[in-house]
Amino acid sequence: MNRLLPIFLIAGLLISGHVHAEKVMMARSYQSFEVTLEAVKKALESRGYTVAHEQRCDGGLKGFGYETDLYRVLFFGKPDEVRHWSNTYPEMIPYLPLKLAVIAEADQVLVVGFNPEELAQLFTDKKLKIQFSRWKNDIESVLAEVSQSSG
Amino acid sequence: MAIRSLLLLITIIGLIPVNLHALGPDGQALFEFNCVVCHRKGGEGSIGLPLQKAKFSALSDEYLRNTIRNGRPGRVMPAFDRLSDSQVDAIVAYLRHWSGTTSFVEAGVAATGDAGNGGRLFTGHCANCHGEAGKGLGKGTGQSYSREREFKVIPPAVGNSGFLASVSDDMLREVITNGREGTLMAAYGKLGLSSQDIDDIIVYLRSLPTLAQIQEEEAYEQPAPTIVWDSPYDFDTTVTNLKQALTGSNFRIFPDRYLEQGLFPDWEVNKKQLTIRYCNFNNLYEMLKTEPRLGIGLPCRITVVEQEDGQVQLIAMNMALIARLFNNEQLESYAAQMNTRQLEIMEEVTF
Repeated sequence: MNRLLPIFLIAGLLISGHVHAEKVMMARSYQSFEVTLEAVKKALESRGYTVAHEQRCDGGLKGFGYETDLYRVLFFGKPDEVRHWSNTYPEMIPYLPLKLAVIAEADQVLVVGFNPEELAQLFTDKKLKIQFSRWKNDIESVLAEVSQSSG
Repeated sequence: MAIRSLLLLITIIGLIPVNLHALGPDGQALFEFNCVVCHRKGGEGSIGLPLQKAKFSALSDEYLRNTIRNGRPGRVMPAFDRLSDSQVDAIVAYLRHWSGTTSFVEAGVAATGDAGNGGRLFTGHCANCHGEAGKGLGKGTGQSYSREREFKVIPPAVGNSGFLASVSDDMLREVITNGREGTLMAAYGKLGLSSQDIDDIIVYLRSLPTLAQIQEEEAYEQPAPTIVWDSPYDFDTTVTNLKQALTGSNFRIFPDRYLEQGLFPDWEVNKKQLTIRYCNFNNLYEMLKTEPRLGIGLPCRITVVEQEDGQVQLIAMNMALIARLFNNEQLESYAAQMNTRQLEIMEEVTF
């Protein structure tokens, strides 16, 4: 029974949150940038992912005329998965660890990631295709949770 | 155990109305799920164009349906081909209710005329805002919140195959003749263009590549995910050569990062997968103007890998694939430049 709880929760969140899953997956948050960033990290970690690195991309943006310059990219993954797939398919390396961008947009925040399933058609390995689907589902549920928690 | 079961039951009961709400053709729920992330709740615009309520009276329901279905190839708006017909209808009905408008009434009169004259008129009267062959003008997408740019709201690419597959001749005729209030689109029927001139412009637009042609091209050209280049040198020499080549090409190099860094304890990290991250901030700025979400493809990086058999390789993301994922044709030209530059660097490193 307990195993069903997250499934129902994710299903409910996906249907009710402001999330869109096409080639680029996105969620909109109405909370502050800092709160959203922490919510994304927490949602990733609760699904067993490790946030390996937080890349700041806002160093010079104000100098280039950006009014809003809060811009981070979170690199995350499950260590064994990253090791396995980078060794098995070195051409996967540029896409590992996985990434989510957290981008301030005036008083709102966008959380953006690639849909990993878009890479599936470029590989024939069935196990890798299943992996892409799992990553996609996890990212989708992370985005749904972030969106839902922001109202 | 009983408490857990009760909690689960409460959770399920709490979710049921939400789920049923969305599973049926509830236009508001579908709009919020599919559209708000790009257009915002109030239609203010964001990655997607603003949805200005007053303009909806100039749009037919059929145009809205087709727009949702076809998207705008190369112009960010995706084609929502996973929605059912009833779901699309529900979104359109919601947009009608939300905007307080009724559908533009189609008369069903097809334009006839001279595409050559239409092309000349288009170049003279329309291309200043809509770009050559209606490909659009100004960098960026939708509505900018973060910086000044050429246009606060990007004028529509009226030559876009998705737009042309969605719009009727009647709608085009109406907008060109009477303009659009609250926008830069003037009423050309009052500025010297005759009815035949306007039909000639429509015939010209209809001569541009169709949605089917564009989709066929895209299906044929599927970019590889990655650029891989073998190095004849050992791992350390390849890394040194790569850094020299990047510096010589005016890139700023960030501190080294191993692929597994942050995922494993330092002593377990594979030291033969080293990612060299680099950036040219002028290029970055231009690309972010074109696609503000590009951060998920950044920073530029080439990973040097030593395989078990000792072969050293340089591996980089194929930016052409990234541009395709964003459905952003403006980004494609930058992607092509970046790929060329990456290949030149890899060639220099391994020469």
